[in-house]
Amino acid sequence: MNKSFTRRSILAATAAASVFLLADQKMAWAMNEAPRKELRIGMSGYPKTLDPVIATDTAIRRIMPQVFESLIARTQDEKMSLTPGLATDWERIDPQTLRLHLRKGVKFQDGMEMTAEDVAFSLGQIHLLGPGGAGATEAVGLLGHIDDIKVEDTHTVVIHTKTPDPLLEQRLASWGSEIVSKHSFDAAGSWQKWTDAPVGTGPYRIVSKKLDVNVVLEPFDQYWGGRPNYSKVEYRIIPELASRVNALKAGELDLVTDIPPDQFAEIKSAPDLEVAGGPVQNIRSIVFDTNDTILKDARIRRAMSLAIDRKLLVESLWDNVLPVPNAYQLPSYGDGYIKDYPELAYDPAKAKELLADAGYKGEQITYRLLNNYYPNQVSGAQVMIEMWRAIGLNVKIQMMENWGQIEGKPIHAIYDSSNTALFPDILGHAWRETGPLGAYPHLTGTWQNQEYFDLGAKLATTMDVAARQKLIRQMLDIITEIDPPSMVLHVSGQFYGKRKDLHWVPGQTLGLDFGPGNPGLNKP
Amino acid sequence: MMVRFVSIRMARGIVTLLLMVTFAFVVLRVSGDPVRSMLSPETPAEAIAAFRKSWGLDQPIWIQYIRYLQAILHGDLGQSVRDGRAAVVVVAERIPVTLQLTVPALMLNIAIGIPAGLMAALRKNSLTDRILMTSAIAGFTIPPFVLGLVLVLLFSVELSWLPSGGSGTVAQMILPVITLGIGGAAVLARFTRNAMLGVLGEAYVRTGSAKGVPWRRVVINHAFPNAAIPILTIIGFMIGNLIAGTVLVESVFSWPGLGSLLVASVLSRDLAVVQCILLFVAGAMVLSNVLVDLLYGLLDPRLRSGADK
Repeated sequence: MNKSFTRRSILAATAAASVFLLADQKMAWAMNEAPRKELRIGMSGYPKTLDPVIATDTAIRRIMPQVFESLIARTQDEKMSLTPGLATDWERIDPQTLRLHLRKGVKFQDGMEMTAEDVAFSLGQIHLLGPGGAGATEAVGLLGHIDDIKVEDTHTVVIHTKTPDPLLEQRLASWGSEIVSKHSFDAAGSWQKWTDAPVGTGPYRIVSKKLDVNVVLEPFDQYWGGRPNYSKVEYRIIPELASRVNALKAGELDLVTDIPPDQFAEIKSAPDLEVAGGPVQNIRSIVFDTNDTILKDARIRRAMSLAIDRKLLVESLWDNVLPVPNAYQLPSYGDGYIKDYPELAYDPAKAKELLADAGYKGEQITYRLLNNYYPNQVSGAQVMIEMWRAIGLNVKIQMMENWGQIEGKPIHAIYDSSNTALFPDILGHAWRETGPLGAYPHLTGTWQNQEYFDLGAKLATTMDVAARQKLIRQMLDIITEIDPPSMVLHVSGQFYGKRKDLHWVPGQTLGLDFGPGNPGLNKP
Repeated sequence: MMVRFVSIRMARGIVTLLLMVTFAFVVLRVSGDPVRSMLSPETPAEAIAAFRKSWGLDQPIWIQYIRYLQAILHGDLGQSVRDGRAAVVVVAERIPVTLQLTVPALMLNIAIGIPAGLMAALRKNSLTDRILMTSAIAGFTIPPFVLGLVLVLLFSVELSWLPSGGSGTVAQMILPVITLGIGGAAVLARFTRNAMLGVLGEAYVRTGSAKGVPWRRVVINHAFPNAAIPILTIIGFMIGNLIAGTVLVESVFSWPGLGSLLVASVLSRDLAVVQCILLFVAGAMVLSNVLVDLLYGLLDPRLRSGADK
């Protein structure tokens, strides 16, 4: 083919190439260099620490997912299935041993590549035991049974536990198991300096924090999971609900946390705002002090539970958006969920029978109450007082100022509680309160049941699914019917006010995820 | 002697501070376990015990108290449990932030309250007097918390003229200063009016007028200086009220000053910080009252000579 180049054809080709290059550049810019907005969040509390192992309160968890990641992640749907995180895959070697293959090319926010050494450090004793090696960390209870972490190569670790652990994968996907940079920890020289700005692999890094004012993050563009969406994420601490809502309505914030149902209409009345959120992996309950002369009788405790119309409670106080679980368990427990377990009954007639059997004659039962530490707490208490009165129970509210007063001994009362599932299983949830080292037997001393403790201990090392289910059913029978330490009210909810143009999807936990992996934010 | 006068007042101030510190120490510890307030209700018992030990909270309260007093005498006010830094550092960085509100608010008190009170007194029972005093009653009776929220709804949410909260800019100061200043201005206006009316009825004012001294000079040179002593007393008290007022106003406007720090620290039983703030506030009150006493002497020579005796 004989084709000559003319001036016109060269010009045309040049123009076409320029257009192509420009379009390509524009696409690249759109993909990687698009201008990013700031994300401004108003939340009620300041985080007590920013290291993942020390503590896990709500304020902390709202920041953690931006900065840290764990080896195994979870889907943020109701199943909360395990999914690859910083480990691409894992294999069981035996009931006590798990090998994990680490994702390659993952960088920490300090620029260092994540290796098996960082994993061994993060889950090892020096980090888990926390400041001064005192063991004053919440992660010790979760991962303290790990006795060895073997580094096979730079991207393979083998974790060995002291006893068989069917839930090790679940634990490695839980709060407190996030991987931190050993290099930065060593460089910091002290826990104090480390916790000022700890370093993880997440899509944002900590820039600054000011007590009771704010925590500021900036994007980490080398994040393995994609380009972070925001040029800056600022958590502003605004304890007053009215002030948070006003700041959202004034356009000064994009999202505010801790919105109770009585504010839903107020937020929805603004054309550019909406309410997001729903149930989370947390159960609200009322604790019984079984040392009390009245409450030591299980029939009284069962009667108190049977007297509560939970559906009415949720309808009237929570716009009917929160589910009532069938006993102290959630559907996300997977194989450990007893689906056919009976619903929590509302049966005032049976409750009256139980009171009569117990010889109850109107003795006072004290209800220690905080002023809305939990949303709708006081309203809920007032409703329940009336429900109890209807079956002849004499329950009197005693207002308290703080948890120290609520749990001040002797308690001889009932009080509210809320418990988050560290991982979706009875051992990651109810057991945190009812196990021998849990809050009721060990901290407040309100309840003991040796049979239950033995069943839980056996469950912790039982690998067979059917055997586990049988044990869990027996445990649920004890804490629901035979000897209840508490009565479940409903699943807790977390609700947010937000701008409609913020396409963020809340998850199933108290954590807020603003990374590129969020199903709302990763849409083009 | 002036030195003796000041020394006695300073000694009283130190006793006041000691009593206040002791009271706060006992109340904060008796009314709630700081460890349970600091840590989440879900914290394992081992972590709680270790935390308690690491902060010396496992000791009997009297040992904690003696150690605390010893530390104060060595200039050590303890460490913030929430922040990890020295409590005095945490508090010191909030003082200028709170002064950014309280100083303009005090100036607003004086700039509005005294002229309004003077005008009301000089036009007693007139329409101006009634309007000013009705406004003063309204200003005094609206709780700062409510006033703050109303101002935010109007100027931030509806009109978008001013930010609803935060700190760092002049615009962010306007609403909290107004909220903090209005109540005090109202009190000062009423107090100034009453003080002036009392003085305007005195014989020397009538004498001055009868001698043909211009009314303006009578008011400025004779009446107002005599009314100034009770006004000064109330301004001394208002400094304390302003600091107390910041507790509410800083919460409404998310202003990161001493008031919001005090609320957060009390709720979390961050004892060292609470006690450090109380020491500062009590110290400021003692100092302001000593200054007011000294100013009495400057304004009224009779008091000065009385002090010399």
